[in-house]
Amino acid sequence: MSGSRPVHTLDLLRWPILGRFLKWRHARTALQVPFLLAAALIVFDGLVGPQLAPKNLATVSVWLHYRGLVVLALLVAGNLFCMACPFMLPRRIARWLRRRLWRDGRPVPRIVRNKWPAVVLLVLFFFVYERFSLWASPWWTAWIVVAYFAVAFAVDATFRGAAFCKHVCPVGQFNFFGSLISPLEIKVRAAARCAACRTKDCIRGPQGCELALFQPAKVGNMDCTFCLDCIHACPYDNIGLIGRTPTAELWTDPFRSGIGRFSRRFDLTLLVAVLIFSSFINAFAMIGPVYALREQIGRWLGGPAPTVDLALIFGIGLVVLPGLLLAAAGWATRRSLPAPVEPLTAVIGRFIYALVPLGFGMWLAHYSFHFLTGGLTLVPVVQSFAADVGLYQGAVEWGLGPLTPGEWLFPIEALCLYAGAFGSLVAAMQIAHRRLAGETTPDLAWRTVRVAAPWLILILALLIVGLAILVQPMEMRGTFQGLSG
Amino acid sequence: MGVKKIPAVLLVPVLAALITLAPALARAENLGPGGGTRVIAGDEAVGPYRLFVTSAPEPAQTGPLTIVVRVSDIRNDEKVKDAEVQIVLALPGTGARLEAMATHADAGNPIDYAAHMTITQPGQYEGVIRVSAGQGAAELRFTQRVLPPRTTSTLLVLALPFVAALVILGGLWFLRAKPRAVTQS
Repeated sequence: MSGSRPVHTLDLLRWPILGRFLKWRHARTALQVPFLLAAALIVFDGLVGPQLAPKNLATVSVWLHYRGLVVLALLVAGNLFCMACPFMLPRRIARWLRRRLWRDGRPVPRIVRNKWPAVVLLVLFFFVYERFSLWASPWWTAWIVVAYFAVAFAVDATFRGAAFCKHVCPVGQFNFFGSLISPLEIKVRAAARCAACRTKDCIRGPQGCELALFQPAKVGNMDCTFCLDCIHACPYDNIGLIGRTPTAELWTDPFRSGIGRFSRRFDLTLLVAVLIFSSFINAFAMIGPVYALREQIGRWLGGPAPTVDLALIFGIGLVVLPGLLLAAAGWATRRSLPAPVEPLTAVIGRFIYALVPLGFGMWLAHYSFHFLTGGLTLVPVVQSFAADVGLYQGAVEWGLGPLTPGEWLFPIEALCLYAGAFGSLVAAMQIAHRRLAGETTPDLAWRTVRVAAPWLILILALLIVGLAILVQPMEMRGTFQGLSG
Repeated sequence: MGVKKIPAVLLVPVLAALITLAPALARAENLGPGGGTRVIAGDEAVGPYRLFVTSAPEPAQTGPLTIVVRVSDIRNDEKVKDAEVQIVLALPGTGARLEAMATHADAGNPIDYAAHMTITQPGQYEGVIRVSAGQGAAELRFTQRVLPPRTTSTLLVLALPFVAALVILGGLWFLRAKPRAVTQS
C-alpha cells in the first residue's frame, strides 16, 4: 500500500515536533485552553475594567489583535483559529447534556440546514458593529464573547452534529471564507487507501466529522474547522495537513462532501457575496468621506438619523450595488457561454468565487493595518490590567503601539490588495477556462477571455474602489466631525 | 388538546436578535482601540490632573488630525468636565503653528475634549496641551509625527510587479491555449 501513497511535499503532520503535537489526542484542547483563559480575562476586564477602549483588554485584544492574527493565520496556514476555538470547549458539557435530555439531540431543522442563519447574523453584526461602535465599548465586547459561549452552548445542546459551527457562527463563516485561499488543507494522503477502507471511521466513527465532511470526497477548506477529529478517527493514518496551491480550490466546482457543488448553493453564494462586499463597506466606514456622506443623508432626511443613514449605506453597498454588479456580470458571461447554459444564479454562483481572493485581500489590508499600527498596545494594556488588579507596580508603557514604521503601512496595505486582485484575475480566467472544457475552436483563448471579461472588469473596478479607500487616512471613528459641532 | 410546541427553528432568530439587537444600548465612546488611534498619554499625572490623550488618525498624515483629551482629578479620579483645554502644535524651524480649543461638542460627548485640526505640512511637530479648571493649570508636552499624504504614484510603482506577472502569465497561457483543446480538470 505504501507504494501507492503519493508523496506530498508539505504535510505538517509528518513534521517532527509539530506533527507529533497535532496528532496528540489532546492537541486541540491544549490550543483551546489558552484561548479560554484569554476569553475569561477579556470578559472580566470588559465588564469590570476601565470603560475606555484603548485601555481595556477586551476592546484591544478582540478588535485589534484577534482579527489581525486571524487573517494572517488564514494567509500563511489555514483555519487555525477554528482549531483553537474556545467556544467549543463548553460544547463537551452541551453534548453530555444533549445525550441526557434528548438521547442524541435533535437534527438541525431542514429550513436552517444551510448558511442562511449565518448570512443574517453576519449582516446584522456588521451593521450593529458600525451603528453602535462596538469596537469602542469594552462592556459590549465582553457581552459579545459571553453571548458567543451561550449561543454555542445552547445550539449544540439542542441539535445534533456541529450545528453552531456549520450553520450559525459568523466568525466561523469568515474563517471558512478566508481559508478558501489558504495554503493548507486537511485531506487524505492516498485515495487508494480510502477506497479499500470498510469502516469509514472518518465519518461514521465516534470521532467522525461532525460537519459531515467525508474525507475521500472532501474538497477544499469550506466548512472545515481543522478540529483534527478525522485525523484521530482514521485507523490508517491516511489524513494529513497538506500544502496546496493557494486559491486553486476556487477554480473548480466538483461535488464536495457535506456541501455539494458551490454553484448550486445559493446560500453559499450569498454568504460569499456578503463577505466580499462587506470588506469594502467595513473599510469605507473608517474613512472621512463616509462622514460627509452620512451628514449629507442626514440633511436630506431633515436631521441626523444615524440608523437610517447607515441602513441606506448598507442597503446600497451590501445589497443593491452587489446585486446589480453580480447580475450584470453573470448575465454578460451567460451570453458568451456555449449551450447548455446554466441559470443565471448558477453562473454567478460559479464565478463569484473568483472575487474571493480580492475580498480577502481587502480584509487583510484592513485588519493588518490595525494590527500593524497597534500590535504592541497589548503590552501597555496588559500592564494596565495587571496594575488594576494589583499584580504590576511599574510604569505603563503607553508609548508602545506600532509594529512597523508608519511609512510602511500604505505599501503593505496596497500589496495585500494587489495580491488579492492578482489571485482573483487568475481565478476568473481559470474558472472560464474550465467552463469551456471540451471546446476545440481555434479562438479558444479569446473565447475564454470573453467569458471571463465581465468578472475581470468587476475585479479591476473593485480594485480601484479598494485603492481609493486605502489612499484615505483612517478617521477617528465615533467622532462625527461636523455633526457634533 | 395540548399546547403546540414552539418549533426549535425559532431558536436561531431569537438568539440572533439577542446577540445583535441588545448592543443598541451600548455606551460607545470616542476613543478607538489602538490601531488608527495613538495613545499620547495614558492617565499621566500632570499637575492636579490625570490626562488621557489620544490622536487619530494613526499614523497621522497631512489633513485632518483629531486630538482627544480626558481630564480627571488626580485626587479622586473624578472626570473634570468644566476645564478649558487648549492644544498647540508647532513645527520647529518653519514657523508653522496650529492652535485650537478642545471642546465637548467636538468630542461628541460630555466627558472628553476634542479638537479637530487640519495639518498642511508633514514633519515632527511639538505639541502642548494646556488644561485649566478649578483645581489649577497644567501643561503636557508631546511630539506628533505627521506623514506626507498617501499618493497614487506609490500605488503605480507597487502595481508594476503584478502587471508584469499578469503579462507573462497571460502570454504563456495564450501560447499554450492555441494548439490544443482544453481538457476537463
